[in-house]
Amino acid sequence: MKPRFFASRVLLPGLFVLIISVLVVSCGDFKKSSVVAPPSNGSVDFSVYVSIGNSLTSGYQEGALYESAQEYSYPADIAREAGVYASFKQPLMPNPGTGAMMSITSLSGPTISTASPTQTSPTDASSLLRPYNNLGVPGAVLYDMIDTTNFLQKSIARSNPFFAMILRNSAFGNSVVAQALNLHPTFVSVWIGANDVLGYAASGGTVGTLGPGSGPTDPNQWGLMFAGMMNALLTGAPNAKFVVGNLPNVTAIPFFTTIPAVVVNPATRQPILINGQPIPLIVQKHDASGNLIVAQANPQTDLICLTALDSMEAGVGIPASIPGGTGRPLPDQYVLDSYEIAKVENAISGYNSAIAAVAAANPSRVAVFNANTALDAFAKDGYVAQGVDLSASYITGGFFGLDGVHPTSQGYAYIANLFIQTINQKFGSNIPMVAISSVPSSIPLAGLTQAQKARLWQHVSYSDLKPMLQLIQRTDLR
Amino acid sequence: MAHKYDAPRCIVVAILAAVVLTSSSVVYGSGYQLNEHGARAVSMGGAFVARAWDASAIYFNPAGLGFSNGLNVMAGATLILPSTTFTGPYPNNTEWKMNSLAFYPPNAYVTYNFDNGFAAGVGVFTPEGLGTDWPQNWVGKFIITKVNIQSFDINPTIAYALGDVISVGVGFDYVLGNVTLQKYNSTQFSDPAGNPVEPFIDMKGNANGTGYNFGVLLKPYPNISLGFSYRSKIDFKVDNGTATYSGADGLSALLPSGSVSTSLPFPTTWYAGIAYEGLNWSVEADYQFVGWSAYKQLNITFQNPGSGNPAPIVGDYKDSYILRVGGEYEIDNMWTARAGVFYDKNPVPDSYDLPILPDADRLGLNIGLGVNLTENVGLDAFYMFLPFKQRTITTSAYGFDGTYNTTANLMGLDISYRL
Repeated sequence: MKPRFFASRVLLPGLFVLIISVLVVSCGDFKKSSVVAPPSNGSVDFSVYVSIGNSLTSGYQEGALYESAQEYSYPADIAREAGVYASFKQPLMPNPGTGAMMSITSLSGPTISTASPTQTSPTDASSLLRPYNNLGVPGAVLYDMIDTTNFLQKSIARSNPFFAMILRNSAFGNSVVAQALNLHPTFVSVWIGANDVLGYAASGGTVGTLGPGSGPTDPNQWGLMFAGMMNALLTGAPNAKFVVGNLPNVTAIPFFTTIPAVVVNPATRQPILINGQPIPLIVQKHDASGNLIVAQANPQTDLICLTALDSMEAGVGIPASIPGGTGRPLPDQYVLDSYEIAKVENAISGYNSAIAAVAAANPSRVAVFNANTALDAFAKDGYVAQGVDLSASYITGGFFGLDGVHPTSQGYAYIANLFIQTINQKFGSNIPMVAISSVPSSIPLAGLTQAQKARLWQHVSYSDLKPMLQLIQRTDLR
Repeated sequence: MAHKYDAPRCIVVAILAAVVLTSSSVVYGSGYQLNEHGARAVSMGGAFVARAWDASAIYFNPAGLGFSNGLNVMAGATLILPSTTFTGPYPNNTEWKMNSLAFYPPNAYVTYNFDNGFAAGVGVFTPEGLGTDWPQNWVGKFIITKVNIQSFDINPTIAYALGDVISVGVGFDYVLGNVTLQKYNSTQFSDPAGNPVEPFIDMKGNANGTGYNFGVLLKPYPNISLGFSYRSKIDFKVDNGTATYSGADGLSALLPSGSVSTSLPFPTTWYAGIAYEGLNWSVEADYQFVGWSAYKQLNITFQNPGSGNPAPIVGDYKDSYILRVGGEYEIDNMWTARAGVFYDKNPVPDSYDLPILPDADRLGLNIGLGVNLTENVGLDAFYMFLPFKQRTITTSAYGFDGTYNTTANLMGLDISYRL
């Protein structure tokens, strides 16, 4: 073959095809182009990010505050995604941390054990000469944000070491808000108020914010306090932007949704039916006018606390006509009845109105993360993240830890993403979200035998849940 | 001239051995289908059903054997170099790059025409293949880290031609190979040291299946030929696979165990084409149907399910098609130039487009060259550039939204011997 011939009949058509290929790929649908806008913090200056709140903000998990959980607190997740994690100081308490950590130690039940209380101080407690960026204090109610009581005295009075451990020195500011302002924040996240109602709810309506017999913090007072706190923050940090989380419904958490208010056959894990009807538990509850009576629980409206397991194992709450039943009513402290739920809902809706009002008055500076609707939706539908299935089911859902109240690391990551979504929508930023599959699963599994582990892989249901001892008392519900 | 007769025998033996020993697994046709089974055909965009002029007719259209002459031996391989990235999970911008892969599916055919209208032959090729290999610690590790499907189709074929006008061919397909699937399982738990409990599962097994194929070639006018070729669905079954676990923190004894079985459908496919033949050139246009709706979901069943069999890998594929155009120009007695193009519609719905097999519409751009080294020996080579449309998923059923980009470079070489 002559070279010229080769060039004209082979090489040139070949080149032609190659050029077309290059053109096709470099334009149109075949081109590699960025679909997602690059990360940006929009109009938010994240250089000094401060988070205030309670245990949910601190990263509290499994009955304790410990470093490997704090690393996955939702403010830590937000700071990481916003690129400011290095300067976002948390009071990291080396494992096993401070508190009494729960773990599954036997699946005969399962048995959930609580370790002996431990206390580990943040390694930089005395070297960091400024407030922490994460000012989430386990056990705090709204009032604790503005309360100027001496931290050490308060910790002793409340049997809660965290005030002194996290706030440390009144020279940094004599309250949570004062310490936050002392940092001259450019961005603040606020999620506070859960304990103002959860203490009451988790004690079956027996122990309110002001002690036994009291109710949730009064919504009007709460609203005034909240407006005052936000006013202090808004004026004290005049250039900062804010995201505020509102409060979820109690029916979104497994502490209240795991145990049905009817008698369950431990063998079949199904409700026992007589004449086709389930048998309600016998409980202490309030009638419509608020008098404590002994009556059948209403499975549609009454909630049984996770803490009732102990008593139920002993036959309390189960009619005497059922084998193993004592006929004695389940005490008030384990039952959140419809009368009490109304108070809880009234408080939550009052708090949420106050939050909405503050946001409405400061539309350019305050975004509201609607945790109320978001967690209801989550409880209903669950969430699939990169092949990881999350739901609101106790233990098996992967979202809530063993206390039935506090999220796992993956659960917190989901919450962080909801906060980020809110920030992005409000402030035009494009902060990336946490890839939940990259966050380690975190419900502690300790010392299980093979046979016990086998059962773990099956579903955990109410009848499997053995006495949890005094695991979940009010002081643990931080 | 004894050596003249020895050479082909040696070549055949060597090539068949090479084919059987060579592993092959590919992401190349839509889904996990492979269509590259002969360099000459591929260099014309795979539009070959209405001509089927060489021994690869066993794959493209068995009726082609009826119009062939004497002994034809052909063997070769394709080198496939794909490159895939995943950017996400949405709305993140992190780019994850699939590990570099190289595949080389082989092909080999022998045909003989008895000059009494009958012809027979046998072919070996790789009808389906799939390989994805993501970094072990990547963001989609709970969905997949590695998939590998290898298959060889042994395809004995007979054909009968009536004069120069019509030929029909029919073949039987015995497919064997293996399937591998690796991933991490998410659990809710951490071990006493605080590390997440994430068992790694490696499932593999040998597989086989059977099917049939047939084809028709019509030459109503001297210059025009019509071709139709049908390949049946094949259930590629794994009956006695194994699963091994690691990193399960002692939980492995409780995970599903025993032999693993599954079945992967190789879809029905048919080609219909029309070709026009000039003095020293020819062109062809084909429509290829691929019955991907056969892939609804992949069920993996264990002998001892333990806490339960793995969730099925849902595909819910739709039927799809490929449009092919190509031709060749005989430059002189020695050289032939070829080119072709195809458009391959992907069968995967958005919600199930997963990193197990990220798919998208593709454009195949092909060029090729044929050379007659001697009167009996020919070489055919092609190059294909295969860009995929960028595909962005926002409705993933696995919570895995993001953008996939894939391109592949393919090169192939076949040597043929005619007597």
